[in-house]
Amino acid sequence: MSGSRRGAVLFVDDEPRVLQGLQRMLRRWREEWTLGFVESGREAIARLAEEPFDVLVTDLRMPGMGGEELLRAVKEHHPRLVRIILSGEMDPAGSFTAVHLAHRYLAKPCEPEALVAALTQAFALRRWVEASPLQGLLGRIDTLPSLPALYARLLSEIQAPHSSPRRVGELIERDVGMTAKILQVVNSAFFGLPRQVVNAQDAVVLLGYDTLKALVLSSRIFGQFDTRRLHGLNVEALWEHSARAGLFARTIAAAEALPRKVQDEAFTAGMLHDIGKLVLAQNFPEEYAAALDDARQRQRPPAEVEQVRFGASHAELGAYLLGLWGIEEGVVQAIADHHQPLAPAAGLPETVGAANRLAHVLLEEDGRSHAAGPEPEAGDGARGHTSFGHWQEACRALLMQEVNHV
Amino acid sequence: MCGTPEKGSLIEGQGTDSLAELRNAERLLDDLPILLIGLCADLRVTRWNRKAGAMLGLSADAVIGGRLEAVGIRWDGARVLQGLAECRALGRSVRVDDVAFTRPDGAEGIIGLTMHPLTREVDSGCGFTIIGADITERKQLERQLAQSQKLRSIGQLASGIAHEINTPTQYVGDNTRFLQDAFAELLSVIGVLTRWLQAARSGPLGPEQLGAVEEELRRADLDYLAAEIPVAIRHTLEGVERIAKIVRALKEFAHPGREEKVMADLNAIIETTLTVASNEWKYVADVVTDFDPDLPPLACHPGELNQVLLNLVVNAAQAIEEVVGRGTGIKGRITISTRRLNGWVRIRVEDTGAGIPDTARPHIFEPFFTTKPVGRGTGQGLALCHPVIVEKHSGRIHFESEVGRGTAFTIELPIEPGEGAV
Repeated sequence: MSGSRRGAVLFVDDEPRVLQGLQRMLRRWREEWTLGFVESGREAIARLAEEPFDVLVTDLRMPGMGGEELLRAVKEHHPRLVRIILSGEMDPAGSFTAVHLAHRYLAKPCEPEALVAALTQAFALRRWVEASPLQGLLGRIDTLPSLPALYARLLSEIQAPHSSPRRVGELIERDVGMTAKILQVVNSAFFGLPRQVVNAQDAVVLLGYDTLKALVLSSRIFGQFDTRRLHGLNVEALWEHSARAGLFARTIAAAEALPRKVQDEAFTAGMLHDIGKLVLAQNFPEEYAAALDDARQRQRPPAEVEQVRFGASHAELGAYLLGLWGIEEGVVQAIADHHQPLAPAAGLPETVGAANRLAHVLLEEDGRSHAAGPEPEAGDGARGHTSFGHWQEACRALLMQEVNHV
Repeated sequence: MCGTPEKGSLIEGQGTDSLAELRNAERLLDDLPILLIGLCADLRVTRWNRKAGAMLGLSADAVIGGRLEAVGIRWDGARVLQGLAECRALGRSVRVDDVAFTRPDGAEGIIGLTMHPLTREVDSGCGFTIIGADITERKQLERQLAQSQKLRSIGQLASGIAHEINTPTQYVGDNTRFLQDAFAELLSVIGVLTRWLQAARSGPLGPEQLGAVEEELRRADLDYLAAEIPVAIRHTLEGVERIAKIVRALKEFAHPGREEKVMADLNAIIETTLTVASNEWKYVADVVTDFDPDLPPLACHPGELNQVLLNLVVNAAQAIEEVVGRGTGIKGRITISTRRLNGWVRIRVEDTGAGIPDTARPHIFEPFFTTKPVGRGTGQGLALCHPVIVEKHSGRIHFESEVGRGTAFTIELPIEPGEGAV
């Protein structure tokens, strides 16, 4: 950790009272954080040129340079800054066009705790990146996937005071592709639901918000990639692997009688654990295809080859991206560590690590080749775990159900 | 004075052919599907057709010869007499469209009357003919339409209004949180000081102990708290007032209008409109209000005037945005003034916008005419203004415009009802 410099955040809002309110509210952190406040996009640009900041928190609708224009400029000239929108705008048409330029969207009025948590997470992420080889890799990456607008809209709908599963369901229904995808997952035997679910609203109730969020986020991220361009990577197979890993992780968490919240996080982490691969494949198409070939020929895990060729693996890269988007820290950590040998415990990281390995192992058992790239180390660092055999049985049973279901 | 009217009196001394013709005419009038009432100059009823009987539940026999106000008609008699007085004073037809009445079945309704002065009444001075119809349903439809138009425009303003509420809510919350923290800090300082005070009771404090007290005070940053706490309280109160003001304006704005006009302060109506629409103009224009402080209260439909003003303000803001561009930070100006001029009140809404092109000018009050891009205007705004001002308020609306310089709409409303009817 090189965390000698304090976390620094720049707030931009055309209403001086909002800035003063934030300044007073954040006074408690005056020793730990550096706080900057400016009233316009133009001032923000000038300030960023003079002083290093880690996080930008901006309003959207401002006279002169608006939030959207500012975000675009900052993305271009200060790509490492964590960009957060703090807006009172309610019109989805207006505000959500800017979402893809930001990492997070916080709605005004925003609870002090939520803002402080977002800043804390952003600063922690910066320290983590600075301390890891990811630093160098990020410098070479041009494009990270943007925060999916539907996901941001879903979050704001869930957080709205009058939110209901019906309204959330309606939001999903407006997106035919998403509805189809969610119904497909919810009706798979993995969920073991007693009856066929035919509409998004029922699916929302049955899945719960956290699972829904994970499904929307993962399918939107996968949807952002042009599969034809990622010739080194079979995106379709990776999606299937991710979905299976998510369900396995949940199954393991349930078998360990972990709380519902952790089961949901396990699902989320499983669904998203490999998105770093997409980012690598998109940014370095030739190089990444070569890396995967190399891994295949030498029978080495892709993560190991990535580490050598890119300085960091898809695990850290994916974790970084999800951290930017404000995904729960436990999930981010579990994704960063999903290749680490399993600790003797049975917590979130272990469920995800084991689920990923089992998703590979059981598929090979099944005689199906793994198009997303073999991970010969799949069982390594796992079989020693006292519960691994037990988990394997639980997941195999689930897989059998799925086969019989089809 | 007119004598007791008799069926035959008007046709005395006529030949048989014309007698038959007149009888036919009588029958025709009696059978008309509209209400027809004849009155002589002292308001005795001389004619009462079948429809009048059916609508008002009184037979001709019961009312002919009696004075209009005394025969027991269940309607807003004061409003009818006011109309007749106006009709007599002006010497021409007067339309009274809002007379409340009770139907024979007891249901409340609205009747629309047109009163004509008779100048050639043979031997009875000036009488009147009143024709009318039950317009309850039409009135209800109009009202529903007006209300739904209003709700629709509130819907279009919704995101702007939310923004206007969410912004102060943000800083009210933050300031309150700060006050909570500050209060806890002050309590802890007071606790420490109290302990030292007790220590001082049992013996004088040495320089070291006094130093500790000073250190405690320094750490609490009392200067900062003393400076910031009053401001935080002020901002909180202002923020709450800002929210309350928007909510009040919205309530007034959304209030379903009543059938009758009410006395209202025109300047306040304009303020309400500006508040509700503030997010529509504040990024492109400064609004200058120049109100006549001595404006008399005006009998009007406030909700409908809100609607008209909203259209004018939003149009002005959009016309200015056309000139200054979106998000440039440059602002135009909207000037709204009120003046009392003799029997009239004049409202002017001026903007420094793009102006109305020559070709569009003749059409701007036509329904569905719009020069705005799809999604920005429905072409209903100004079309709606015209009937509200001209028909409902007997007023006038017109505009001057110069391309590149701006547009000024002028609305003139009569202070006394009747004065404006032209």
